Amino acid sequence: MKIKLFILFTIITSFIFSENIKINVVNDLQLQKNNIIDQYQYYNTLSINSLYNNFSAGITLRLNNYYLQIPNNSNGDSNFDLYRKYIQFNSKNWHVNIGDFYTLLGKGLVLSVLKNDEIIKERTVLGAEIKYSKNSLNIKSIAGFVKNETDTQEWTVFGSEILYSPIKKIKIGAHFSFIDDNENNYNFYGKRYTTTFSLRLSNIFNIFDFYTEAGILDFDNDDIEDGYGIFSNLSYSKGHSTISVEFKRYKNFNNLMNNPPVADRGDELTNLIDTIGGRILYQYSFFDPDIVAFINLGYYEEGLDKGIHIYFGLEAQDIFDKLSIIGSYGVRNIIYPIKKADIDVLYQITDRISIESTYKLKYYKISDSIIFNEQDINFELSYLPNFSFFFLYQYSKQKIINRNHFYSGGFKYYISDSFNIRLLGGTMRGGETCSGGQCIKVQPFKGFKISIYKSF
Amino acid sequence: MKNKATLSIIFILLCFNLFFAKVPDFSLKSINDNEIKFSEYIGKKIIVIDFWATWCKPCKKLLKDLNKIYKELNNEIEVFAISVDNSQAIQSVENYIKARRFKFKVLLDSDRRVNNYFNPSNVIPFTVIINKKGEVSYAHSGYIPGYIKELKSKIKEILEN
Repeated sequence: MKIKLFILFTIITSFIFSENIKINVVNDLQLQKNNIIDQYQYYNTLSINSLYNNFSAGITLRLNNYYLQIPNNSNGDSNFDLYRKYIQFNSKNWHVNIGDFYTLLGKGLVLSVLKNDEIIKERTVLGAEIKYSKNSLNIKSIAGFVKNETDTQEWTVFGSEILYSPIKKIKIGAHFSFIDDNENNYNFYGKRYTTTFSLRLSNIFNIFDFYTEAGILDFDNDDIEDGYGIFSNLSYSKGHSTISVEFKRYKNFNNLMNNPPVADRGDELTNLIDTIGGRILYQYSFFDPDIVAFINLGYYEEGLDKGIHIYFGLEAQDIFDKLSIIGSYGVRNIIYPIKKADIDVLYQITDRISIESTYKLKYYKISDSIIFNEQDINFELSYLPNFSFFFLYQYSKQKIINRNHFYSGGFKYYISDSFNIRLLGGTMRGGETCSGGQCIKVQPFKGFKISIYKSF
Repeated sequence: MKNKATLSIIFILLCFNLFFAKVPDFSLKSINDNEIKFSEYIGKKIIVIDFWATWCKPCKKLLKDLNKIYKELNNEIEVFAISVDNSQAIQSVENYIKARRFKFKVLLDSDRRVNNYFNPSNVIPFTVIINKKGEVSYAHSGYIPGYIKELKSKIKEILEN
């Protein structure tokens, strides 16, 4: 009932203020046949954003029947809800947001509540956010509640950050978060306070950049040992070379809502409980032809274990104006071994026709019986400007939706600048998937999927 | 049944009531922690926004193309390459950009505030062109080889209009 009243209110106000108010609507529909439950599944989001002078407001309505795949589902055939809502005020110096929002303070050492694409019900802060920026000063404060993906737990969250630049090229910051488990929680941690200070030096002597952030995590609960964390990065760029040196140390630094940076490929292990380590990333750029070669050497100690993390590769684009190659290979040998490899080759046959093939390998050996060996082979043919066809084969050693081999294919058709249709059929393992010139994080599925994108 | 019918009517009414669309005055942090406000650029230049992430290979190809376009037309356009990487990848964004010496502005939208406005389906790369009136003139998802020509012709068309 509240949703309908809200929508009616939006319609009425938009008619009243029709001379001044601007509205933008994007609808995104995904429809797929799920052969496991023998049902069609749909997931539709309709986002309506409006702007009136310095104010903007938006809602995202969601209609889906994904609950159908839950055994003994008791949520009904379909679910319609007001998924996201916000009202914002923006002026030259102020930004005020009330409603749902993601948030990040510093580099994520104190607070990081961000989008999670891999699950449908992801987290936001529901509350208020205020930002003030003038000249060399930026202040941001947030307060609200965060729920977990299944709405079974809730946290009270408060965060604040001040960034100040006393002189050009230098920025200092203070970052703070308070998190408390609400009554329905498993209540592992209780009240905790995370405070960090940061320093950024930009473009020193035109070749150096430096960032460091360090702080403490203070638990009210005396049974939990207080912790600390440090993240530092120094980079050097001159001529063809770029060198980045990184150091990190985390001890009892997990507040359940922090997520500090890790190495580029996402396979670096950083558990925040007891990590010390560092890495050097060297990148050499040939500018003509456009090639960047890179190598990363890392060493980490995780609790009682220690080991290396190495990866290397290159990105070569527009070779002879026809060929692009992006590839890398890496191993991490801490606690359990991980190997990751990927290569992407694209050849442009004519101005309109091109072929592209990619191969990806992810190999994780957690124990002799738990081995993740995932491989993707993608072949794609594009005909400009409207069509793109692709075929994707995926292999997974661990059975997902009762299978190891996944075959899918599809096409994308651009009807106009703001209107395209994408049809995908077959089976997909899920995860980060790039095909048809687009990337998105998807869940495993079997069947077909239609995505219609239309911007009004 | 009655509820569904009501919702359908509301949706249709909304669709008929739509007209587009000045862009709100977003501000985002650059990779150097500088606050970049869209309003400081709207009206002066055409703004080309590209949403991308370090794990997305088509995005990297498009960034290279955008760099070429920016070098050629930087007096008339401003390019904002907006990373939607999460906080774990923030340092990777810096490392990636520095080695390639891209000249355009690279902004961080880890909280997806701006991305959700333009691109709620979260498919990347996603390109938006904002004209000098502050209105969205063009939106496109995905990258296919040769897309640089189409993008360039769209920019020129908008510049001429």
